[in-house]
Amino acid sequence: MEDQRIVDLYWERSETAIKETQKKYGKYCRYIARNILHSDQDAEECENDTYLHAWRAMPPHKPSVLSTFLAKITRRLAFDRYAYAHAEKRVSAATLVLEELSECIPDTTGDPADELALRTALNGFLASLPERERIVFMRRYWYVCPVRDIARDMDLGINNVKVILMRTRNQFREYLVKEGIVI
Amino acid sequence: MKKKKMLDMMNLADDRFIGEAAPRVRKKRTNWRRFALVAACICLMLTGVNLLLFLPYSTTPPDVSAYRSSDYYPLIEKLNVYTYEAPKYKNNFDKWTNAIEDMFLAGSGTSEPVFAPGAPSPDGEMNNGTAEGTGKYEEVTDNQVAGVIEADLIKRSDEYIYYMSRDGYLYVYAIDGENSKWLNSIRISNYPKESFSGMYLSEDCKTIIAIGSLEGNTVLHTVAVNGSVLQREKTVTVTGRHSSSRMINGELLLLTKHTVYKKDIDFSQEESYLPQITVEDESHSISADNIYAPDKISNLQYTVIYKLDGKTLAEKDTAAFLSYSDIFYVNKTHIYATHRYTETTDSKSWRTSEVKTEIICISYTGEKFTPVGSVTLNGFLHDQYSMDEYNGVLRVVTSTDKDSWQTGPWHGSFGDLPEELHGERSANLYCIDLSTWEIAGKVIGFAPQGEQVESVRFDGDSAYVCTAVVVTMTDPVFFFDLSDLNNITYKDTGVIEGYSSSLVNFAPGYLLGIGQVDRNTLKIEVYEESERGVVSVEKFEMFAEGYATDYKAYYIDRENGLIGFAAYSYGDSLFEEAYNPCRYIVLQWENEQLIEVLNVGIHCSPNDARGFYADGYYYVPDRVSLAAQPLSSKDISLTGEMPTQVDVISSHGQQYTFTSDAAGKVADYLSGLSLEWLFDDTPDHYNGTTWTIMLSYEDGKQIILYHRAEAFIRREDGDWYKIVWHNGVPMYFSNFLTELQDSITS
Repeated sequence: MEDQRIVDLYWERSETAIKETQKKYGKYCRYIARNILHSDQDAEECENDTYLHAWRAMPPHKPSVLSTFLAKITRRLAFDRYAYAHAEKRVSAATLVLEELSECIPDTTGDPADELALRTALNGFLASLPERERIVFMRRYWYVCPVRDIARDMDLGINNVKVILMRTRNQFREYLVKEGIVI
Repeated sequence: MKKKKMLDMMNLADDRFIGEAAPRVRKKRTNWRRFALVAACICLMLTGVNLLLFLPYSTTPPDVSAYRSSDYYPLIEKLNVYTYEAPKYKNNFDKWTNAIEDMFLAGSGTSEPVFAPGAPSPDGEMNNGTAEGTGKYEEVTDNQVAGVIEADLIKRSDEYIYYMSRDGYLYVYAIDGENSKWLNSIRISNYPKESFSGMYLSEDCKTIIAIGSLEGNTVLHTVAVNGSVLQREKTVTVTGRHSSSRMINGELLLLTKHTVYKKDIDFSQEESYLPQITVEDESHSISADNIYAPDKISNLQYTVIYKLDGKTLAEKDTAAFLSYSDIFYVNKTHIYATHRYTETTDSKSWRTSEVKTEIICISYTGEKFTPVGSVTLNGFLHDQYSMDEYNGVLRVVTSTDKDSWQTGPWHGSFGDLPEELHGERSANLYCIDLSTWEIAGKVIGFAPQGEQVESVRFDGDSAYVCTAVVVTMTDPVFFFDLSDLNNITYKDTGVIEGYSSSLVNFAPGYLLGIGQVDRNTLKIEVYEESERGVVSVEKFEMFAEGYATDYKAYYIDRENGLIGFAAYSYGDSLFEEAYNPCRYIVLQWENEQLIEVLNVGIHCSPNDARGFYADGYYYVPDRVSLAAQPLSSKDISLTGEMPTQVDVISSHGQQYTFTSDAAGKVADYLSGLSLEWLFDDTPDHYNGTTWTIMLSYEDGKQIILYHRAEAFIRREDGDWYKIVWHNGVPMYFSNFLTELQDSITS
């Protein structure tokens, strides 16, 4: 079913909306959640929470791209649950991602940038990247995909992916410094 | 905290970037790279297999352009094409499938170069003999061309006979009538395996050159002659097996055969494909200018012609003919070499195969051999006598050999001939103008269909040809008048029994034919050209299980009308020594009759027998003895008249009286006896039946003959003659009388 029709079902408060959403994007949401939480059970719970949040969000929201709308919900829920579980677990994939992202934090001081500046900076940076590097970056730091999964899906070597990530992180950091963004 | 902020910051990414990076729900992504690799490997394998199975074998000869700078390059190209074997199969697949099928169905040279003039013969053996003085040279060989001497087993001067045996012994006999005797003999070669084919005696009678063959090479031996004194001088060996030779004006032309073998040919090694000349251990190839090869080679045999000094054997020049046959004609100025080949042509649904002969002419009278011209004729030549040069015209007789058959699918049974097969077998005569090398006159297909040339002889403006179908033993003889090449006419004998393997111009208007009636009957026949045509006027036949097939073994004396030859018949052991049945017979042509005037036993084979007539005696040397006999007809020869009555009484009292035809039959029987007057037996020692035969003639004359022991006969008190056979077949006289009586009474 097309995304627009599924959205219409939400607006019609039809129960089939959840059903159709699960049918089309269930695996997608579980994938995102599993990458962050590394637990099928937690990922499933996260998936279900996503449908609940989507039911609540539509209306008033009427996303044009339903997949990314759901992905954001799932990601946020997954990280929330991750943060809750983090105190009890020593290392996880999300931890590693966070560690890597921390390399991008520039050593600048000053007032932290607001959300708009951050959005502009981030999207400006992403737009400046070649497609391949951008996808790798997003897969790693938005979807929290393991490096080997990224390598397999992109037909790249693992080392190649790691190098791309390292370079893009450095480029992001320099970009943020150039833009004067303070985190 | 800042880390969390970074994490949250990622949430601010645009949807399009999120969607772009969204992991697709994957079906397993096709690994195109691996797929392409596997596909490439499979393609390579298939290509390799296809190439291995179906790559066509090369159907062109190997490239020899590397030898382009060689003087022999034109020859190399011809040899390369000839020696190339086109593959039997198209490719490996074809080959292997046929091999599998067969399993189920289930079988130049390189002579050592040798030419060593000047090498002394071992020991320089000398044999003194008993008499000195050289004598005057006398020609005893019936050479094809006057002045062009051919080697022979016998040569002579007016005083001495020199006879050579095939195993290399040279004998000297004195010519002295009934006092003739053996004087000396030497062994020419130290090698028992060396065989000899002939010799030359120099004009001054001081040098003999003997020609031997040993291990594929030709060996020339010079012997110094001083009457009966013989001394071996030197030995010269040349490359190639001896084929023929001629001596002209003190120069020896020697023809040898040198074969190269396909498997040995390596164009980077000249000795593997070219005849070599070796002088004092140094070898060199015959120069390219002196090698003649036809456009289409038909075999890998060179005929090498050496021109040597007739005494010292020093080399003067050499020429080689590749693919040329054994048939050469040599006259005083030219050598004619022949190359026989088959030409195949295709037209529509027919294929024609025809034998042709290319004749090339070389002049040898200058310092070097020089090509003069060539011509190609239909058919093939029988022998050297099939060519003759006369007054600027080359006359050639050939036999046609041509077949045509339909090509296309053959639906017959294995072994059958194609339904449509046409063959032409006949004979042709060509006259070639040697100034233009164009055919100036010809007669095509003059022989009856199916007949081919058996013998040829040219004599001035005349040509004599005998053709035959050998299987059926019949022949006509043709007389050609070549005086007007624009109007060549001929007559023939019609079909007559037997055929002549040699034709000899014997006497003016008479031609002698030597051949056979059937497998065991030799015939000597005389033909006369007359207004009636060509007729046989006399024929001598004798039963013989073997007779000479070498023309040189026949002695032809035109001046005295003598024909000498040898033959053998095992006959009856009472008359013949079982191990030495060979006899030498001389016939005399007199009053249009062939009369036997000599019959002696000899110790050699018919082809090695030689004899000649001089000063009233006929000489027949061999390796054991010399027969020197006066020629005379049998003393018992009857008058030729028919007796009116014949009375026969035996020593045991048997009596017969014959009259009329029967009396004539007795006279014919007695006339048909072959007699020998030189024998070792003593008739008086024989106790067998003696028949007294009284022949009475119309004029009252009487002749008495005594026939003893079925072995001897004499006329009245004359000399005894030993009976050899009757008409070639021994027959007891007593049996003859009994049968004759029985035929009368019945």
